[in-house]
Amino acid sequence: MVIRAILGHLALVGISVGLALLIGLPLGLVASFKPSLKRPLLYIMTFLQWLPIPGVIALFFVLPVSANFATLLALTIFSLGFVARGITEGLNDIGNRLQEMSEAVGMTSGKAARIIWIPIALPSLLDGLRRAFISSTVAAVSAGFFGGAGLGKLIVQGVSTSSPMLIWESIVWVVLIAIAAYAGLSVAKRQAVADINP
Amino acid sequence: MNVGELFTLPFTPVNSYAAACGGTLLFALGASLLGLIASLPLSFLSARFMRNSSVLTRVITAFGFIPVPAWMALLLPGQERWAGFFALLSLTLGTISPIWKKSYAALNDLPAPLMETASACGMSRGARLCRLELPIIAPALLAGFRRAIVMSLGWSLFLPVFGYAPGLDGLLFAALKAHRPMIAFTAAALLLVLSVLLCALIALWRRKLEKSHWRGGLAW
Repeated sequence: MVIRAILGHLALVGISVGLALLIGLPLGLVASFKPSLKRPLLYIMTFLQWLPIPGVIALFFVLPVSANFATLLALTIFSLGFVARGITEGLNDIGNRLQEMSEAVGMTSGKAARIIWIPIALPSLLDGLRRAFISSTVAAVSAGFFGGAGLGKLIVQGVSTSSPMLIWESIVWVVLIAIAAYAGLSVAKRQAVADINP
Repeated sequence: MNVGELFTLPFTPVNSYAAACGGTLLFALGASLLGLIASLPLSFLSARFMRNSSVLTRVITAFGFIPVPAWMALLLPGQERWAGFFALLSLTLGTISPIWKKSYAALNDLPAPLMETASACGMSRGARLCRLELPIIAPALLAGFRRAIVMSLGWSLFLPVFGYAPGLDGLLFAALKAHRPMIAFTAAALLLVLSVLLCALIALWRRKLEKSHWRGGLAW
């Protein structure tokens, strides 16, 4: 039961952060190279982080979707802000110059993104991913309260069966997953910084 | 969605929505203020006496990874008489870490020459705290407070599961149980609107504070 809950929790967090990366990466790159888009995009990303995740899940849950899908949507929306902000902050003032340089040497946008832009923004992107992963790990507990998967289900079961051990088990696992993500992504960020400034 | 509900929704007393919003708002604000009161001395202590990577700072960071519903599940069941207090306590425990994180980072970034100059001018520790440190870290504190409010508004939604319902949360869960999705949707939407309004107000206040730093010098 516990392993199933852990796997469910990891799936919720992993898929939502992955989706946020898929959507946020191009969004962040576009915003970095189009100054007219940067400001509105950053405003939208800030606005998204003003929304409490359990409230967003509740809002989606009322629609005819499953609790897991509602949680995935809410976590993706929340993580999107961290990813897009990570990219735009990483390419802060050098975005336009980088674009001109890569155009001058005849690189396609895709190639320039792969070889130059993403490696330069990588430390900041990893920082954003770390925040997104940790926040989502904690917030994914909400799914269990709406009948979805994850470690929140253990808390609900612990309360209904008056078993504090189940609650403690879920706390330990959430904290362990968050610490592992924190440590892993911090090491990756340090490595990325070292790669840029050897 | 039950179409019939669209017609019954206007007859749900507006007062009950207003009262629910008020209850949730007061509860979230109370928890965030208590979190601020608890985390401020903690951040001053940790900034003065701890290194950046000390065990205690890591413990406080890990403390923030504990989901608030877990605190509720540990503290609330069986507390009928003191349910309100323990509900507030569990939300407060969740708000300590975000406020501490922001204020601790801001305290570590205080310009050392400014602090040295203040000491050299004979400023007492209390004067430095009130006239330099607090005004400088105020915007960061507000950012932490904003995060704390968003968190407590969100997590308060689960209080009815543990037998306590101070506001919109009770309305939402009662509506879900009674299969009244329109009322549940309205309650969830109102919660989001409350959160956005509060965050916008705090963001405005923060911007005003930052501007006043530049206009009138650092010390108020």
